[in-house]
Amino acid sequence: MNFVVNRLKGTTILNFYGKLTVQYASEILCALTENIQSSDNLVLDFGGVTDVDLSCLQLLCAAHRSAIRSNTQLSFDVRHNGILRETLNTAGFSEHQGCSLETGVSCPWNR
Amino acid sequence: MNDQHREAFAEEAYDLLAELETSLLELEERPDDKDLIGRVFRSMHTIKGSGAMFGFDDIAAFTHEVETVFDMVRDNVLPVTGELINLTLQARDHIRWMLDAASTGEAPYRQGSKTIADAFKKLVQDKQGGAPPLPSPDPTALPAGHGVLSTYRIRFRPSPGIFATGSNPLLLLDELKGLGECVITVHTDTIPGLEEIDPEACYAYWDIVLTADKGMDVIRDVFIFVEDISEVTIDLVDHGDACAEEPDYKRIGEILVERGDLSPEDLASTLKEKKLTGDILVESGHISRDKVDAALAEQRHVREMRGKRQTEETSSGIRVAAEKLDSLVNLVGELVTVQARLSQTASLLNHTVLTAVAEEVERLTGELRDNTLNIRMLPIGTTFGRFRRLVRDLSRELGKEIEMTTEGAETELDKTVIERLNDPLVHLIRNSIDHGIETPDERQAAGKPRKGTVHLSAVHSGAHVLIRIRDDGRGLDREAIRAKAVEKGLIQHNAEIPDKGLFAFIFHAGFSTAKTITSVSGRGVGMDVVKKAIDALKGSIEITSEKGTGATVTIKLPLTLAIIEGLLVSVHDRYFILPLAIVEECVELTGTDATGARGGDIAHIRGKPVPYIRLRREFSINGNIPDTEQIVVTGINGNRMGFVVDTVIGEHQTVIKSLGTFYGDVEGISGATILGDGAVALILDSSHLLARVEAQQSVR
Repeated sequence: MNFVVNRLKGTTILNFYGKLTVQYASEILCALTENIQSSDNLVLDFGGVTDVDLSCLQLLCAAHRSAIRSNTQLSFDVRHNGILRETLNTAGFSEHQGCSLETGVSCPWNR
Repeated sequence: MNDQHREAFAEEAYDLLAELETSLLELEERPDDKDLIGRVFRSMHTIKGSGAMFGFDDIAAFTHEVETVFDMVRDNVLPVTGELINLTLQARDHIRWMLDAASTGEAPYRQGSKTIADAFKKLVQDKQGGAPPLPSPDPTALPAGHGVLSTYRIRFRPSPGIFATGSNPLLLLDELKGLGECVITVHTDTIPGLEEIDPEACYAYWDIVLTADKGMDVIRDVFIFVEDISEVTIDLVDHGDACAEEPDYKRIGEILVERGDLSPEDLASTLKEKKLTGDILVESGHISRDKVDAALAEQRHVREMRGKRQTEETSSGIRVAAEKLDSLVNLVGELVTVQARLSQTASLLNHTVLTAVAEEVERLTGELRDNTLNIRMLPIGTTFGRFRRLVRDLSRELGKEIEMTTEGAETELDKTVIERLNDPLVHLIRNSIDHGIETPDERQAAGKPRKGTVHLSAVHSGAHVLIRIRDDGRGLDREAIRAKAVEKGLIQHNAEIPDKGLFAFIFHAGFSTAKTITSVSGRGVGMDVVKKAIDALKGSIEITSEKGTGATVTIKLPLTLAIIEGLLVSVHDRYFILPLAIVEECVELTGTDATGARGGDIAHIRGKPVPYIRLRREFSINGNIPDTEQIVVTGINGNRMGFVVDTVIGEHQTVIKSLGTFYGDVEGISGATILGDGAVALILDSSHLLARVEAQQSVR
C-alpha cells in the first residue's frame, strides 16, 4: 500500500495505490486520521488500488463518521475502480442507505 | 403422500441417476474436474432431499452416506479413485434398485445398503489412515426443501477477532451468493469513528436473504469454519409452496419483530401514526436506519422471488405422462383419417365451399400432427449416455481397454423408437466389444493403439435417422462367415456373393462364428433378435467391415412410428402403401421394358436393370391386368427395387395401425392404415420384400 497527498486550493487529495487490506489497515488509519484533522475538504482517490478488503471498507465508514463530527467535507467516488466496486457489492454495501449519523445525503456508499 | 408426487419424484430420480452415471464415468476420465465432482454431489444431494420430502426415507438415508463422501471429495479430503468410482456406481445402481422396489412395493433391502455404506466407510478410513468412521446419517440433517426454492433469513455477526484467524467474511458472503439469489445488507452502526476504531477488528455484520433450492444444512455448511467465532442464525422465512396461497409477504413491522430488532409494543405504538412505518421507527429512535433497510430488503426480495416463481410456474415446462401423449397421438391419427375422408368426400361432391373447408382442415390437421409428433421427439443422447457404463463394465470384465465416443447425441427420434432401440444397440455394442475389439496386447502386436474405440453416431437423413456403431477392432472374418453359411446350407460353396450380402447372414438365427461362448456373446442369439427388432421399427440394418480395421453397423430408422408420409397404390380393388421416403420414381411399365432374365423380373429403366415384384402375384390378387401397369421404384440401402401396381393414386398421410398379434408375423407387411372411405391399405415392408428377392436370386 502506498499513498500520495496532494493539496490544491484548500482541497486535499489523498491518492491510494496497491493493496488496501488488513495487513495495511494501521497505515490507512494513520493516513485518514491525519488528513481529516488537517483538511476542510478531503477527496479520496482509489484509482490505483489493486485489492481491497472489509477492514478498509470499515475504515472508510469510520472516516466518514469522523469527518461529520469534525465538519470536514469528505468525498470519494468508488465507481471508477472495478475491484472496489465488486468488493462493495459482495459486502452488501451497495444496499446501504446511510448510517445513524447521517441518513443518505453524504453517505459515500449511497451514490 | 400423494402417489402422483411420489411418481414425479421417481421420474426425476431416474433422470438424476442417469445424469449421475454419466458424470461418474466422465469423472473417471477426468478425476480433477471440479465441475464434475460438483455435478455428482448435486445429483446425490437432490435425490436425498427430494427423497426425504416424498417419504423415500431409506433412499434419502442411504444417499446421504454417499453424499457425505462426495462432500469430502469436494473439499479435497478424499481423492477421486477408481475404487471410489466403482463404489459410487454400485451405490447408484442400488438407489435405482431401491426406486424400482418402492414402485413395486418390494421390501427395502437394507442389508444391501449397509454393505455399500460400510464399503464407503472403509474407503474413507483407509484414505484417512484410520480416522474415525463417517457419522451415521442424521435424519434431522436431511434438507427440507430440495427441488423447491425456499427463502432463508441469515444473520451473520463475526467476532471482532475474525481477521486474526485468517478468515475473510467476504468470502463466505460470496459463497452464499453462489447458492442462489441473495440480497446482502451490511450493518455498519457498530463501526466507530477513526478515533476509536481498531483497524484490525471486525465491526460490520450482515442480514442476508437467500433464495435457493438448498436445504438449511447446506447453508450452515458455509459457516462451518467460523461458527465458533461468529453468531449465525438461519431461519426459513418463505417456502416455495407458500406463494400459491399468499402472493404478498409480511409487513415491515412484522419482519422487524420476528428478527428481534423491535418489540411488539414499539410497533403497536408506531402504527398509530400515519407515516411509513420504517421512517417513523427510525425517527422515533426505536431502531437504526440500516435495520429497517435490511428488513425492507427482505420484504422486497421475497416479493420478487414469489412473483418470479409464479411467472416461472406458469411458463416453464411440465411433465406429462407418456400414456397421455400416446393417447394424444392416437387421437391425432384418428383425426388425420377423418380429415382424409372429408377431403375425399369434398372432392367427390365437387362442392366449392366444402372443398375450401376441407383444405383448411387438412392444413390445420397437418400442423397439429407435426406439433404432436414433435412433442414425442427426444434426443438420442439419453440412450447413448447409458452405454458408457456398459462399455466401461464390459471392457473391464474382458480385460480390454476401450473408449466410447459419440456424435450427434442431439439427434431427435420418436420416444417409442428410442425405447425400442435400446436392446438392439446393447447387443451390437456387446458384440463389438467381445468379438470386434482385440485385447490390448493383440492390438499392440497389430500396430494399433492399445485402447480400442467404439464410436456411436446418429444423423438425420431425410425422414430417417442413421445410427452407426463403428469399432476399430479386427473386423468381420469374411471366410469364416462364408464357411458357416455354406455349412448351414444358406449358400452353395461356389456362390459369388458381395460382402454386404455375406455379412447379412450373421442376422440369421443361430449363426455364430465364435469359437468360444462367453457370458457376453457368441451363442448366435442376439443378432437375429437385433434384426427382428429393427424390422419391427420399420428400419433396416447393414454391416460393412474391413478385416483388421474394424466394422460398422448402420441402422436406418424412420423418425416416427405413428404417422408416415406414404405413397398410395392399388392393384385391382386392393390398396397398398409404400413409405414415401424410399420412393425414387414412378414410371409406366411397358412390355418392352420388362424382360425375364433367368426367370427373374427385371425392368430396364433408362438403360439400367431394376428388379421388380408384381404385387398382384405376391398377394394373389385376381382381376384384369391393365394395358399399362405402373412400376414404383424404391431405393433401399443403395439397392433399387420396383413394385408393379395397377395404379399410383398419390401421396397419403399414413396413420400406422399394427396388425395385431394374430397377423403380426406376416412377412412383407409392416402394418395397415384406414383410408378416407373406410377401406384398409396394407403398408408394405419393402426391405423385407427386397431381402426375400435377394435371397431367391442368391440361391439361384
